[in-house]
Amino acid sequence: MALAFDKVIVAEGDGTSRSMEAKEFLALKLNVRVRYILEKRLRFFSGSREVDQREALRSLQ
Amino acid sequence: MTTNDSLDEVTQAIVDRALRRYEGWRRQVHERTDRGFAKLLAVEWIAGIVFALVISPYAWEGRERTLHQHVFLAAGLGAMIVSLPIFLAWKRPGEAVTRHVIAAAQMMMSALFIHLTGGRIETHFHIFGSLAFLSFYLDWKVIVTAIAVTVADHFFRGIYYPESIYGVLLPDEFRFLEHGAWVLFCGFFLVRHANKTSKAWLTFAEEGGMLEAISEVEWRERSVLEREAMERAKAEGA
Repeated sequence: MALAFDKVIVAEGDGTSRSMEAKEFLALKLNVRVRYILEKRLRFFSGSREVDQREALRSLQ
Repeated sequence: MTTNDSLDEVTQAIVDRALRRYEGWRRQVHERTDRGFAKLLAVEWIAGIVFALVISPYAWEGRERTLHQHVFLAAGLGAMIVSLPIFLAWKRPGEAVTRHVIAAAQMMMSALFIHLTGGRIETHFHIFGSLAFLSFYLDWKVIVTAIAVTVADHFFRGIYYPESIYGVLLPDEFRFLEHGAWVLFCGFFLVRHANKTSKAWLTFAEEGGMLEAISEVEWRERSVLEREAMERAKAEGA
């Protein structure tokens, strides 16, 4: 199954944001990814379309 | 767990739960495979005795007809090989030592079968079947143990008892390398498969952790809304 997202944008604390490829995001340690989700700092994109967070993460398998 | 718990604690709890799920799946597979091998080894032990009885049941010493040593070898050595792994599978299923002992024993049963059939090349296929079964553990270290036992067996028996393993008295000096190379070839793909499948399971467990984090966020937000509604109702009632 293909991933439902190809890009993740992480909101930084200082108001800026950082973009990373899906592969980079998945290479982060699980505690970092969980922390980002708990802090609501993540947005998932497929091309320019924003993808629902739950839908994006369900597509991992 | 209350909404006042620190994010650090919640993060750690979610990560721990995900890893526990992953370890739980692995443990289940290891225990199930241990039980499967306990049965297989018992069946192989009986099969070894049957082989010996069918292939060379009796020997002649002058006019004396005696039971061939292979029958005793299949029964005695076979029992020695299978008893410890069956015991461990029964008493300590799922532990690393159990699957490594099982891997070594399974390859030793291959060695015994090869000896009992006089080094028949066809019996060497038992080695590849055994490696395939051992890959059910999804643990690359088990495959390495099995390969090491097989290569060592080919090396030493090739030197000291070549007829038993190759069916000829004077095999090529480096024949064990040829056999070892085929075993490594097979092992390479099985190790790769084990690692890829384990990684996929870990990803699956991690996905569960991230979905749990989303649920936690939703739960917290809902509880904030519920608290607000309660506070509003209280204020309106006052």
